[in-house]
Amino acid sequence: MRTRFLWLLLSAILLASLSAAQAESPAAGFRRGNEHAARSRWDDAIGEYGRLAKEGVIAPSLYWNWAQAASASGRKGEALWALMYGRDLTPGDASMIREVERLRGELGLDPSEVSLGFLGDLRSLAQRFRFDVLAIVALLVSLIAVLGGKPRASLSLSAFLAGLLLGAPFVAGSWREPRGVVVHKDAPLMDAARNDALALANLREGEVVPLLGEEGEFVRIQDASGARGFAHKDDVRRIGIE
Amino acid sequence: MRPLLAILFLLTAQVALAQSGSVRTEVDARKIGTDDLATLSIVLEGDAANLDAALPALKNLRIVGGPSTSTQISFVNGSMSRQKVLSFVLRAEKPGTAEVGAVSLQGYPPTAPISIEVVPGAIRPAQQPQDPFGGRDPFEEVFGRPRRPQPQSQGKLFVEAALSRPAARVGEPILVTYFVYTQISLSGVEFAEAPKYPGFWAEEIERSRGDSSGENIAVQGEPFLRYPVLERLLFPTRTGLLEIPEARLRLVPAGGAFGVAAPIERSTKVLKVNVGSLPAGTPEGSAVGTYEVESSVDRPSVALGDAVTFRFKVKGRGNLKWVDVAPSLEIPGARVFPPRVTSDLKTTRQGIEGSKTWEFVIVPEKEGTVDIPSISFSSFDPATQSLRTDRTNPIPVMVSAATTSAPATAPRNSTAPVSLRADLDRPQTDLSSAAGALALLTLAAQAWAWRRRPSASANHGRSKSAIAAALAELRSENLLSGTKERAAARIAGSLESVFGPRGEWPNDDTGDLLRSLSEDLEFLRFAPQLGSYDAKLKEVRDRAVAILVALS
Repeated sequence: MRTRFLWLLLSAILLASLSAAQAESPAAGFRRGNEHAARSRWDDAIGEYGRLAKEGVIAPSLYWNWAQAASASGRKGEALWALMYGRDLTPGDASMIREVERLRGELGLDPSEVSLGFLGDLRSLAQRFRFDVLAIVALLVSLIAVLGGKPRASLSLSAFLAGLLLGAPFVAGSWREPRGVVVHKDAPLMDAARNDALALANLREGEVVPLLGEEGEFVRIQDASGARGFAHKDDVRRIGIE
Repeated sequence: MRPLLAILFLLTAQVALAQSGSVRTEVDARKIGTDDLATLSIVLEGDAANLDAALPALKNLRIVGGPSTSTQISFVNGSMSRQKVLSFVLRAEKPGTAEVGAVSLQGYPPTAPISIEVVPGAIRPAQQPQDPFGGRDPFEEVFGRPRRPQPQSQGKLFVEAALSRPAARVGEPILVTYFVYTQISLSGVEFAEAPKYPGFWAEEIERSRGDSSGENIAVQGEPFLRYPVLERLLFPTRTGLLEIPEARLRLVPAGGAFGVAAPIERSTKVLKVNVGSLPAGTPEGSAVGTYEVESSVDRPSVALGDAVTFRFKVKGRGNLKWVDVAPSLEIPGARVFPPRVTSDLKTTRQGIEGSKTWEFVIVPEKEGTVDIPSISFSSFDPATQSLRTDRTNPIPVMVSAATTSAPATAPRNSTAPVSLRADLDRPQTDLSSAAGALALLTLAAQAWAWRRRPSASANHGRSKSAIAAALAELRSENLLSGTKERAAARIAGSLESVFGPRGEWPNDDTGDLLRSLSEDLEFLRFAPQLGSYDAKLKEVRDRAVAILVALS
């Protein structure tokens, strides 16, 4: 009986290790996507990057390459979305910021049309210049000043207030409204969340719109002209992790 | 320095403005005999034609005729240019070298002197009785009466727009020419407003200077000089009886007090064109004209993953500029990218001539043979009044295996100018949560410190009146008059009335000062009386006062 149990246990361990070996690593999938992109197989490359994203891979380089492939295949809106997603993951990456600006120019969009809103832009700015690290330093100084052998009340209070100010954009940014990018040219803005709804207007490719709500396969948005309506989730992609 | 630069700039600008024209001298022979005649021409063009040139210095030459003046006005696409020629007939005085000196006009560079070799006798061929004035009346400028049997000076002037054909089909070119008929000398012609062509797509004709010369023509038995002013090639865009509205031209006669008279306006008549549709069955957007098509690839074979460029070219004459829809190209087993369009087109009186090329980048996706299919091009040929469809021949492209077995190390395709990142990197670490936790901790520490602070400050500031009373005690005249023990006890009592007993003194800088002061007071109270302690007492009292003053 014991021998049989041991055999079963051994078989289970062997199967588990085999399946683990067969499961492809994200790096291998990423490399395959890059191969497709290097050979101008843009759809295959984007498909591979999309699969990795669905599997939960969160890497700025994934979205960078996705943007490169989308841009090269003429899908500027999708490229802008991927870059803004990547910028959200690594706000200090200057090349991401530069590419966003380049694509914005190519799409003929005003800077306000690719804005994340006041709170979103404020948070992005704070992340870019590492306000979080500065806030930690200031708070540590305050803590040491207040708990040290000789309390320094004024220094402690000043550092504490500086830390709070530096951290404020992060707190305020947590209340920012979610935003999405119009990834298809002339995507329809509809009056209802149905496929047979009336198209009120066409959305500009690359425009960043606030996401006001969701209904099934549709998101409720407001375009730059102030018109509110519904757009299909395939046409408007959310920026950042939900 | 700046004023000097400004003056230089102004001088340069003035010279540049003044030089919108040219002056040159010409002789019709560089070697003449003493019995020959030579003609010297001073040619003034552009603005220089408004000036008068003096006879240049002549060496070994004398004038035997002239000067005569001739003026030419040319119109090219509505813009006018003038040329005035002063002619002199010269004869050499003796064998040797003769020279025509430089001609200088203000605002223009002087002309170069011209040397003429003079030999004895006559060396030039016998000439027909030559008109030294080039067929022009030398008194034309003076009397306004040309000698030529052409426009008599009746002063008539009118304009006309003429069509190359009265009817056409949609897309067929029609030439419209605007003429000026004149019996008087003109110094300028311009359109009062740009001509309009509703229902037409208009193209400007590329013309040369020679196209603008005038011609003698009789209108109802009267001689006129006729100049073409503007030519446009029109392509009807819709059917029906289309009208070309009248065009107003502003004509400026030569003469008047300053060489220019008041302008005269003349209008053309409204023109009508009967535009018919293309024959039934003509595909939408078909070209109109006579065309040939051809196709080519940049290489007959390609490695899998590499790109081949396919070119589809249409050349001929017609309305090729209209054709902007790319030919449809679908190839099974290959990816076809949207084409790049290049054109080499020129507008002539007969139509738009040249070629248009669509360049496709094709990336085969499988090994073997990929056939680029035949592409058809439909057009309506006005010459034969029929619809014709030209087709290219299919082109096979051989696709071989990829050049390397390791795709990751293969060189990047030249048609894929992308910048890829090789590794999956990590997002930027967000320390805002840690900062938040630390902020809460710091807040708690601040609160703890705040709770401690009130007890001290309450003692310190228990009563401002207590501080005032203590200060009064310390500053009293008789504080130091008694014994040192008594003075020390009074100082200590004053401080304790404010700060309480030693155990309650704050654990900060003030507390440190108080403790130091207390130790000195203890010393003063219990030290043996070996000398005077007045100075020390005063110092201790001053320190106590300073602590209380800082507190108040």
